Amino acid sequence: MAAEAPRGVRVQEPDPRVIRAAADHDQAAFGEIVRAYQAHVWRFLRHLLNDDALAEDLTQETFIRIYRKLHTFQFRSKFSTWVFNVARNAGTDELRSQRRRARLVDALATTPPPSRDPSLRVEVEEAVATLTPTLRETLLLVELFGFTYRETAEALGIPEGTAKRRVFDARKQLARELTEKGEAGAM
Amino acid sequence: MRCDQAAERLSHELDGEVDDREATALEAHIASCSACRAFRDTSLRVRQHLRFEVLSHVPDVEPRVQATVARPMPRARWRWLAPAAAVVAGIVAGAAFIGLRTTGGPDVAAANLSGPVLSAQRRVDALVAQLRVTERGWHPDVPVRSYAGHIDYRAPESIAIDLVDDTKYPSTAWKPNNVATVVSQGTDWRSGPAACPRESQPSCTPAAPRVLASVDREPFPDAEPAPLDLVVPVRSLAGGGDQTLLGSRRVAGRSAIGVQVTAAQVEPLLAGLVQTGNWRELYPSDRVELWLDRESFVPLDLKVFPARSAERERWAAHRGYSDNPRAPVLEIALDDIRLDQAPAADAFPAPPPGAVTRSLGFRELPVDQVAVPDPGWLPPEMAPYRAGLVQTPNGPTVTERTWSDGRAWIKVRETHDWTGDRLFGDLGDAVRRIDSGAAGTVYSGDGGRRIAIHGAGVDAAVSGSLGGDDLLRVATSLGIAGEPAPPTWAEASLVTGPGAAHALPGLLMPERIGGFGKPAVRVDGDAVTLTYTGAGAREFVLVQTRGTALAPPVEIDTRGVDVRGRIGRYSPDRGELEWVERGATFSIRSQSLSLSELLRIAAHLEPV
Repeated sequence: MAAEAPRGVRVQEPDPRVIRAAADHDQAAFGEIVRAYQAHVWRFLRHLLNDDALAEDLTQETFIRIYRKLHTFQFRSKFSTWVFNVARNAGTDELRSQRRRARLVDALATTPPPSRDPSLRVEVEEAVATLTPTLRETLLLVELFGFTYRETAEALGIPEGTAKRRVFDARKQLARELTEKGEAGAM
Repeated sequence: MRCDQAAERLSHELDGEVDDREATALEAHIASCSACRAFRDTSLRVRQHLRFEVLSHVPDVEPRVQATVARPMPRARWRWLAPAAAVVAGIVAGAAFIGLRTTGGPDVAAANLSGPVLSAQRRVDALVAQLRVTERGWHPDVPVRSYAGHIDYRAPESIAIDLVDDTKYPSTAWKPNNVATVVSQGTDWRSGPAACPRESQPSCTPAAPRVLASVDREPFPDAEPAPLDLVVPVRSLAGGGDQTLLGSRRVAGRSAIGVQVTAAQVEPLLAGLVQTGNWRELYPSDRVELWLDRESFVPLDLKVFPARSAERERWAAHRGYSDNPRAPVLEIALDDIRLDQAPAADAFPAPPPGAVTRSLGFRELPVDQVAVPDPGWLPPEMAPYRAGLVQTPNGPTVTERTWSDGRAWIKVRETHDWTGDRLFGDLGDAVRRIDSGAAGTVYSGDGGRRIAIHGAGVDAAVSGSLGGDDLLRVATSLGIAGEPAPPTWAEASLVTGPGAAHALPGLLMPERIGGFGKPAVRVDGDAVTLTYTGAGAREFVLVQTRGTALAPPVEIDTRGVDVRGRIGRYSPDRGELEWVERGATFSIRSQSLSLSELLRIAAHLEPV
């Protein structure tokens, strides 16, 4: 039997007329876009940054950037991949800013200290937080939103093969982390 | 099948990227391989959690986002999607040529045009001219497109540009890129085909053009260039330092001087109509040859040539352009120029029936009903122009007054209910803090073209088409005692140059780089950020902080470069050059400068 591979809820594409109206500063149309994407963007950013409050601030920042850049969207890609590219850039800027401010180069690239909280949620989130930002953002697009490798590559501006490889590398590391934790917890 | 290969294929299978045959083979492998089984089970567990996580709280950011975007937007500094029509608007300028002062001996090929251009804007009352435009490389099936049209301008706030696409397309399925833009005081409208992906041409272009109109438009709005911005290249040439001169020759029967600039520098000329029509893109470092009438300072001819760099080739390849470095991708020529001839009475028509119309929220009022203080000083000949009130949903109530000499303009805006977390007035990211003596602390942004004052219970902003010194003088004569930005505002960490040197001993700053004003300086801990702006959209950000190693690269295409005799790296995506030197990490970042320009700036860094 083939492995269960749930695709989950795909991120929906808005009507192009709504995008065009929002680009023309139609506040109602723009509001529709914010409402459609804000939960997705927030989920992505909170896993990327491991900080709910910061993710909320950056979700707000993401939509302000989107509003100001909407006129540049040329329908060359899916709107959702474009949105997550903007969100990813906002998150990456924050990570880099943190690095500069606090010289957290090593800490950022690795992990917060693991806790012994036995719940699966904490365990998985901690494991995801051990990934480098590059691996983390790639995996999140695939796992949170069911993006294909091609869509993920488009959102991140990387080759499709690179996206594929990063997802595998991320899964390998997660498997190692969670297995070790499981073994440690069982001791 | 080896275990490591199987794990990778299992990863692909989870994402629906293997066929049934391979899936069967993987199942067979898993049956006898506990490690791969564990890999798959763990991956599924992660997916199950991430994709179907239960959230007890999801923030609703819409009200805050809407409140923020409802405020007047800063002028876009970088828009490259459909610049050609806007270039057409920008090619019109008028001024008496009041003495170009070169920077050296008789053979020098550089001159500072700031003074002549700033003076020029105050001399044009009206203009009527014909236009020819040629665009190359828009689509493989339509390698060249040509347009003919005209422009009418009446100072200070009326302009009409009409371009008819006379290209011979392969079939009638292709829609002509006819565009029109009209601004007439409180109303504007534009018409053109809606943007549509190049690879989906010609079927995706709607048959009918899109017509958008705005009413209740405030005078000289920040979000869109005012007509004067479109017809006089002040922002493109003032403050740009020494310009490379191309020489003198006859253009369109007139004596002309030529300057060489970049597409980034003439971005203000491009910004006007970027949302109208379907045009090719330009690259920020593309070379622009601009010929100006020697007598009237009218730009007569503009050609944009592809820049020669690996980054530019990569940019073009990504968009499917195959540009010839020797052929201009955009040519604009002005002809039959009649300066100071009043446009026809019907030159600025009302929006056509069926236009989608929106209100911009400005209500015109008599000057004596608008509570904006009189500046103690105004440039000569400036007389009261339009005044009124701007009210937008969720935004502050803003009163504003403007003054004009019939061509140039100044605007003062004031609000008593500012709730933003940064200075009122959309100063942008490059904000300088200035101690103005008796007037207290004031802030200058957008290359000195905007001034903000935060006072007790009042916030004011001054903008205009004049030089930064004049705007600063107007701002400090308003009678508002300027206070430093509150600690929670974005501008709270702004300091002066000496303050930055104190925060980071050994600070390096660029010396002898013309074309950029004084930097905006920000200190966050031991990180010092210097933001420089020049003419047009030319800008760069220099960040220095203590450190001995760079963070891991984020982009895949980051590559090594030689910086100041050291090994550094450059990310074309981010336009960022980084290196380590003397116990500090350095980053120079710009979306408008090429790698060679960033390296030149790096080479000129010297201790403060």
